[in-house]
Amino acid sequence: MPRRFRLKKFRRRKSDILLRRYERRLVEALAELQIPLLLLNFALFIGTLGYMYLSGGDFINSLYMTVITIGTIGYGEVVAGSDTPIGRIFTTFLALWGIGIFTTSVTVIVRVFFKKDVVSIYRRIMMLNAIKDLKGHYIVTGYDEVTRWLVKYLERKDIKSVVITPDSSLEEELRENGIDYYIFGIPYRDEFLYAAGIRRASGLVVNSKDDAEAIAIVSSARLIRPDEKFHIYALVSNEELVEKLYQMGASRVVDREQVLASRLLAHILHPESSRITHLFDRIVFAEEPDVDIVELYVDENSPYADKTLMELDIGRRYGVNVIGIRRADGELEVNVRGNTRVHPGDVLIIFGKEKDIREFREKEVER
Amino acid sequence: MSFKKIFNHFFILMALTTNISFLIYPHPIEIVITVFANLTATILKVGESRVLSTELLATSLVADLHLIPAIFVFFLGNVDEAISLAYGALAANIVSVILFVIETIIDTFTEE
Repeated sequence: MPRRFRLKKFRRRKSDILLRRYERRLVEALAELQIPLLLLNFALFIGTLGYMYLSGGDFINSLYMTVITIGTIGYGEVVAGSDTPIGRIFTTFLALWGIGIFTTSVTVIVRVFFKKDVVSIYRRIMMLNAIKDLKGHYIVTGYDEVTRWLVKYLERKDIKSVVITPDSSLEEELRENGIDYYIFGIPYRDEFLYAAGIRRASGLVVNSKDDAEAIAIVSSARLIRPDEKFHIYALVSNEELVEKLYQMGASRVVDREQVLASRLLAHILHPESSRITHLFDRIVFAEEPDVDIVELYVDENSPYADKTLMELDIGRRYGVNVIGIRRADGELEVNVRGNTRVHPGDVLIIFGKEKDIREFREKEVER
Repeated sequence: MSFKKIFNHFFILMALTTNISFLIYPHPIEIVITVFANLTATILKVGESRVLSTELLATSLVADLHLIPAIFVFFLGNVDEAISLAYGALAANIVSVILFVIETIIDTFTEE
């Protein structure tokens, strides 16, 4: 029993692996400051002590004299005793190596802060700490225009998202596009998924043009989060990949070309009712802020099974409307009335105000 | 035997011993040496990634933030104030040495 306790106590959190790595890089970068700072400290100490000896213990002027000497400011001999022959010999030697130490130290310090990218590492540490506070967010792997729009749409719905991309040169672009949380790394590696908060996330969106990478991401994520509450959406360009990704555990696989074509087709087939098509598009794609649409699957154990819509009384209880029922055999019933009966396997399509839909979703869909 | 370790440990102890010597005999040269030793001990802890590095750096910074005002206060004539600040630094230095001993023990066991 005591052994088990020890293991639990000292086990490192997987979500902190990346954080620790960045912290180590920061420490390594700062370690380069040691020698220049030591030399600068030593030069200041020798100079101050020397002038104190010459002036009989005038510390403040001695320190000032040392700084203006090694800093090549040279306002003159401001400390008593420095204008004597011994004082000038001391100043000569102090200037000769002190100026070298000062300029070298300044160069190294500037290099550490700019070349080693200390600021960037520090920013990433802060971001990983901020990601630790996220809950119910989405992880999006890969960065392109689709990701940019997706993050924007999620943000409109107050849903946070973390982008994982291997390309660190995109940092400026990500920040310019208002993406608050991002991680540079290989998306299918566990350490990056953990760092993105996969344990607390609602879902993952796989936006990868590399088929093998998409498979690896979906399988890695599903191994970490096998539960049904965690949704994995994959965006692919290869039709053959769709079935494989479903087998790997994806909740929904979207063929990007097919989606574009079907959305375009909706406009082509309904030229005379483009406003309606556009309205449905806007609702489904969360572009209409006041209204929303939701689906409710009715299984055998559902309290909705084998009841009429009048008995369910959804409209009065939540202020939302059932606008259609997708029957278990695939048929879409749009002419729904109070006496329409709901059967196991049906999917109710419910439409209403955004706040009412949210309440319905919380109480009935996600319960 | 590591020379870096000798150098580090030397200045950690030196920071404490010079601090005590200044408190026993508050002389101008003593406080300059104390500040130098403490600043060196702090710089040597920057960029260290050992078990208690963070705690050691924090205690060293506390000592520095007591001693730097103390040196100016001392040379501006307020010796009592400088000594009281040096007592504060002494407390931080004692904690620093305790942490350093703990870390040495941990290191020894880890190496074994």
